[in-house]
Amino acid sequence: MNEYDVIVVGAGNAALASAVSAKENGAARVLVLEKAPKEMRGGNTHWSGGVLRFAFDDPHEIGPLLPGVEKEYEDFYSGIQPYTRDDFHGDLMRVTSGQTDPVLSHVLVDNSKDTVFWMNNFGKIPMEPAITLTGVRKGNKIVWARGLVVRAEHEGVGLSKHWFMACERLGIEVRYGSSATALLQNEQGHVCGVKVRDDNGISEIAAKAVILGCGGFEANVQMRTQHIGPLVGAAKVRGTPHNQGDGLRMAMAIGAMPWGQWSGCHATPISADWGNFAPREMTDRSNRLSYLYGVMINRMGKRFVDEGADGAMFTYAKYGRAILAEPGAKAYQLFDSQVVHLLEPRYATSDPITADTLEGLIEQLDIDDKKTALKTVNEYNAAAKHADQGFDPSQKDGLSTAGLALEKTNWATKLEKAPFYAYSATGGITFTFGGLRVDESTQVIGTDWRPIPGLFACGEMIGGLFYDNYPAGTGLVSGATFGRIAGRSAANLAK
Amino acid sequence: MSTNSATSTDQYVLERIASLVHSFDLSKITPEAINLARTAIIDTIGVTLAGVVEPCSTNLLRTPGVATAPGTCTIFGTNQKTSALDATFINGTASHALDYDDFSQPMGGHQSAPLVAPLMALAEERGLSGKKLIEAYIVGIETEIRIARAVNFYHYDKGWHPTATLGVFGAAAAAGFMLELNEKQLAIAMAIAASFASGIKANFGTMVKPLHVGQSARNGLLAALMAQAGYDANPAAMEHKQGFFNAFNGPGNFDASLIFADWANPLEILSPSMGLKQFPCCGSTHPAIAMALKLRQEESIDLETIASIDILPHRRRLPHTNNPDPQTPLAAKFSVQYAVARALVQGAVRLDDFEGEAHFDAKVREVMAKTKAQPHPDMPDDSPDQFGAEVIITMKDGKKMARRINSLVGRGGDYPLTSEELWEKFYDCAKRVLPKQDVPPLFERLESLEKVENIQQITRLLVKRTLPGAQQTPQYKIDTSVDEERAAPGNNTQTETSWVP
Repeated sequence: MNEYDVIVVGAGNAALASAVSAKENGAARVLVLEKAPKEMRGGNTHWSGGVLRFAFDDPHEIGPLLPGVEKEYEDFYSGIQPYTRDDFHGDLMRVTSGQTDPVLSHVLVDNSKDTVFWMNNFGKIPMEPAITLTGVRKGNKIVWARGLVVRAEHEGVGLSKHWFMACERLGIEVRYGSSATALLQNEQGHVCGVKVRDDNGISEIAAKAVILGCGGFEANVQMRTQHIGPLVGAAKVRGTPHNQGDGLRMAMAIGAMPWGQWSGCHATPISADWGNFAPREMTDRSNRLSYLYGVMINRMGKRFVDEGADGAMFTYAKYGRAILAEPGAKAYQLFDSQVVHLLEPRYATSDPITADTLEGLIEQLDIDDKKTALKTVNEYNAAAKHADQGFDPSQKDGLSTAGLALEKTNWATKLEKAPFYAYSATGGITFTFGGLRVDESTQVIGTDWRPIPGLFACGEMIGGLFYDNYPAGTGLVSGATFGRIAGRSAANLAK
Repeated sequence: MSTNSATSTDQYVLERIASLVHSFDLSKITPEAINLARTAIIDTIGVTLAGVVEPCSTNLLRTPGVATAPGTCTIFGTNQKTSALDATFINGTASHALDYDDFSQPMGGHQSAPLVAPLMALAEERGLSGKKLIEAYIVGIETEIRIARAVNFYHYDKGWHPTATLGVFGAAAAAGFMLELNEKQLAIAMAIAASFASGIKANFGTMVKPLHVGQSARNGLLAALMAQAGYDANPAAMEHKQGFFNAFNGPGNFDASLIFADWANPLEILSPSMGLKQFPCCGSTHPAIAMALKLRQEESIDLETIASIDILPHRRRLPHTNNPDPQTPLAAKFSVQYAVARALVQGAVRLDDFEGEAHFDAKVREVMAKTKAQPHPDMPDDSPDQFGAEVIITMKDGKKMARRINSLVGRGGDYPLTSEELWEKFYDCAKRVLPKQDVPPLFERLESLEKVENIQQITRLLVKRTLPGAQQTPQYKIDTSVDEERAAPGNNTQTETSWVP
């Protein structure tokens, strides 16, 4: 019988980590089923920034991942603070309001560093300092965000490419345009293969174990609407259009238990000029996260959030959803010439609307109530400060408006220096938090609270790790950590 | 040879070519042909990006009236848009600026440079697909190399610059194919191109050499556009007694029947006599560099414990590359000792190894001191393979390791560039002008060029985008300085990162 040892459904970071791990742990025949055609391969990983958050006690432990880094950056390690397992776990607990799965979150944190080294050593994925993303120059040295020093070389594009290269090197078969549509079970209830739809029609492929690593349901409008609500139903998709919840449905069809926050997702402010699905070649460049230096108004001409409540890293996830809740799911970010140079480089992927007066700017915007918009901006300007009164973009400067119903509490400079600029924004969904219940070996648990033999899950398909929010750079490490475990578990079963 | 062998039918030469172009058998475009075409197009886009900051390009851009026409076509590596003609002029010139673009032996020149710029501009302007681009490119290759077979090498030896004088026909045919001209229009387009053909070797070694290429690319496109607009020309412009063949080659010095002998059978794009340049230095050093890299890759060599390095190229490769002590970046491009040492030290030979003081790098000089270059004793002068080399490394303990290749004119045929090698070259070229982080998505998209629905998906990644605060450059000039702004945090010194995944 033409049976595989392990079938992996999906081809992003988690799925390919599991395929590579299965091979490493003795599975002779490993098959990866990628639903997308080759030119769209790799799941959300391609769109990611490639940053890898992991725990370490001493910054020097990072060294082997970044050969030559000490030559490249003077006094490299002095700009890095230790990031212990407790720190990492504390961050996870904090952003999820204590809801993260107590068992899985420790598996993630405790394995995080080892996983990244395994990706580098066994997966041969080159790494680089995440300088453009998390390094900030202070005087002569670079200060790095805590736990976020390393990323895959060439970001998500490089990460995805090197996973596929690893598959090729290890003799792992990858089939493109092959969409798994159902799980097969034998009489003992053991998952023994998948049903596949491809260009040749429908067929069945047998395997001793199946790993689901095919992502969440962020690209599926019906599931978004049903589980997260109509507002997020209208969101634009930041990543692959192929994450349609197939794996979740397949697993639940044979009794897998849903787990985690099915009403939760990661959504950020992105350009409203983008189509419903992000163009692959523009990766994550739709993000519009410099609103903290300006003013955001909705189509009714009103402000709706405190743009300067905190650094973007602590507000971006909720503000994506906040924009989706406004009329037409659209907003404009307004800037003047004294702050426009602070916009992050991704803004260069849109041409802003510009004018020499605020009236002229608002006149050109797709806003229903322009009179109110002008009133809002004028009231804001009356309550805001001049830049020379203490504006400091390098930290929360406390430069606040005074007297507005909705204050802007930091970086509240007046829009006063022409020309003025407006960028459109809407909410873009990154991934969904709801998933399946798995045990420590990533074996999928049924609604009867018993394991489903032969079925494993990894990546965005694991429920229970993230609620409401998540710490940047965790998704890829979680994907690779649980992917690696899934591959090992599946290989052991196949022996 | 006969002056008259083209008239085996009643049709003129250009009418026959037009008919073949018009009814080009697309079923001949196999996956292998697509693969070769895509690789060449990617490579050409890469060297164009590297070349757009060279003086032949920047000086051209500063010339009043050049590239000021309104339009929607990207001048690669800038934020400037202009007409298809003007974009082709600049990009075509830039593509040959470093002489780092691919080449064809029968053409006696560079086959892709005259084609890629006009096809990219036209496809960008009209929102055409990658598949269409590849088909038109393959048609252009067939046309220009077929004509080359009729006129070379007399044409080349006489002093013409075939990349330009023949490339203009390829560009006209390819652009005409992309514009879906009818047979008559295609013949007229090439007849116009015959009058545009120019380029003399006296200007080799100057900025005018790449200018020839930009000019021929632009003129080929112009010819196709004019034919479409109803211009007339003499379809007998090739075989006329005062036509292209007789004027450029002279009676008895061409054989037009060779154009039609094996038209597209097999496709010229499949020919093993085309190659890509892997390294940005003199082609005569390439076989030795390749062997040095092979040694470095396959043996674990500690540079400290090397006693000596024997570099043994074919004797024809050595006289102009035997320079143990180059004093300028240009001299370094013609030093096989420097190139081999650089390859051993770095595992690659890149553009910036021929800039500034790179050729004085102490570590490389240390290795160079151990090299000795002489003609290979077993590679005879009269061998058909004149691009061979052997590199022998002798360690201090007496152990010898050697690698030899008998023919490496360029990377192609049965020794194609691997995808990883193509990436390394492309990245090296593209990051000269584009922000580093924009290059991987660009390359990834290009790798499936035939599936790209609209070339604008590619060209928008060829733009050097700027933020409003930085848009201060005058219209007729472009800022071509290598810009690290986007690669660095820039002015944004916020303590928390503003980035999120």
